[in-house]
Amino acid sequence: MKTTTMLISSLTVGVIMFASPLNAQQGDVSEGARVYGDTCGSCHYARSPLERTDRQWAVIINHMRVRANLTGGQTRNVLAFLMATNGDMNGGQESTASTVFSNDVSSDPAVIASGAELVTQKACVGCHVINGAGGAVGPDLDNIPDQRDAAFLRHKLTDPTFDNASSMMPNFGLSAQDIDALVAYLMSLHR
Amino acid sequence: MVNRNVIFAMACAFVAVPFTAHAQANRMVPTNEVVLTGYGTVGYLLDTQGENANRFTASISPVFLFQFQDRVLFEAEFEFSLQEGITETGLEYAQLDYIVNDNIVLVAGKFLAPFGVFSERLHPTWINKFASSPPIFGHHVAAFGVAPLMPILADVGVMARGAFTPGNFQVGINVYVTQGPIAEGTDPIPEVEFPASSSDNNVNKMVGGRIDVGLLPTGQISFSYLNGDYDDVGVLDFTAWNIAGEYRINGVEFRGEVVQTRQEIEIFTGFPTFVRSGFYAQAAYRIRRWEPVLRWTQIFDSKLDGVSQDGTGAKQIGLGLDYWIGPSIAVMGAYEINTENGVELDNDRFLIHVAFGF
Repeated sequence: MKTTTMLISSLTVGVIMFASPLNAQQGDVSEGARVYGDTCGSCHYARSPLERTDRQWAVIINHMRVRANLTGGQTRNVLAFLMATNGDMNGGQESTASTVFSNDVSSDPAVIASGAELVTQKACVGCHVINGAGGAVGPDLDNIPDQRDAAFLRHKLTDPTFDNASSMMPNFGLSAQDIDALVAYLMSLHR
Repeated sequence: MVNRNVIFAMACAFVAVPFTAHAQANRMVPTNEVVLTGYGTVGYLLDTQGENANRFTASISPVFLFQFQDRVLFEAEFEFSLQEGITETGLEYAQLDYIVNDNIVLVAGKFLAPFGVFSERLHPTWINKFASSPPIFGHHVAAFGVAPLMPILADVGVMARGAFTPGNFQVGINVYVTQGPIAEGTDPIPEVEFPASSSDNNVNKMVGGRIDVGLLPTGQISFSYLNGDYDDVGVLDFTAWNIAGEYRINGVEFRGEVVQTRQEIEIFTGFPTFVRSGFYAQAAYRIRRWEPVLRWTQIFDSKLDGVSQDGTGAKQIGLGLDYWIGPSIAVMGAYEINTENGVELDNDRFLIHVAFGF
């Protein structure tokens, strides 16, 4: 008992003494999406960001930080993701309902490689299965070429909620070039 | 000596806090905000062998969260459920969280102790994929021929929680000091209970902790341990440990926990140890909105001073099927088959409920 108590005492003090200080940097949406899918999703299915306002998520995420042993950085990232996808930041976006999107798909290996790199950068696998691995928050993208055309993908990447008001996919503010690269990569999957 | 060490540890912890708690603030957090969240269930329980009354069930567990400025969060969960015509109420936890820095949170009050993973994280009905708790844990609608090994453990005290992400790993370190267990009854082997009382029955506190190491979402393993004296004098030791694991492969989620409790008892000839152990293992596979769940729970024959106590073990096989209406609302059906020493008990039952998180 004495040894146990001393061990836990030392651990407690040690952990606190060597902890890094609070960092006030803003969260990363892509990393937040990954953590939301991987860590939050390991206990329960991911709830729609639309369920809560920014202020409410800011409180709930601290509750979950305590319960799930998240770091401050992870907490900020998840909060950034939730705030970017709960409608508050997208509320002013113009409707894309009448926009006509191109169905062109580049077969240029360099463009496809660029799309693959973007998939990594944006941590798409946090929510989607790609090449057999990834999260379950969003649909499996391995079969996306059989289910959707390039015009749909362009529309989705431009305005993630155009077809589903409760979609949790964040609007990454991608350039047209990035969207072309992502479409090229996604349409190359399992082909 | 135990008390002196505990007090020393907590004093060091609180003295160290101001030196590490830099004055920077996370301005993404509102100054003051109250949020209501929680979960509930409505359902029906069918005793297929007629021993117990079939009945409708209902419960709700609201959780209140109050954020004060950047670092302080107060959270409390209440539980209201129907028990034989009476509305039973409970305070599951009421805790103050102080965010020290990016890696450390201090907790004080009544909190869910990090003993195992199910107890602290998975027992809310909309998170638990089976319509009842594993019978090694006593909570909600668990039914079994044998007493659970541990409760859903909530106790009063203080706790330090650490979170770290070395490489791709998710590491959690939790240590706590609480009021601890008490003895219930005067039998030679009294039941050990955790009343989470505002007073302590002896001078010794319970100490415990859990370490989680995860490579999420693939898997995680957790080791938990707790120790405290449970008798009024403070000489009889109670120790419990738990190993919890989760693993996902090809869409199948496996979970399980192994628990052992070691209780020192006092008899005329000495202080033998009464040992109980058991496990639960669960597999679930999501197919669109449907999710079949298979759960196996077993409590082994207890041992007194190494001698097996025949007839004290039991086994339950549970078959469940969930239909997910949304990410936090599901209709869950389950059938539990209970056996004791190979003989089927007369309390098999069918449960169905709607579980919702809000």
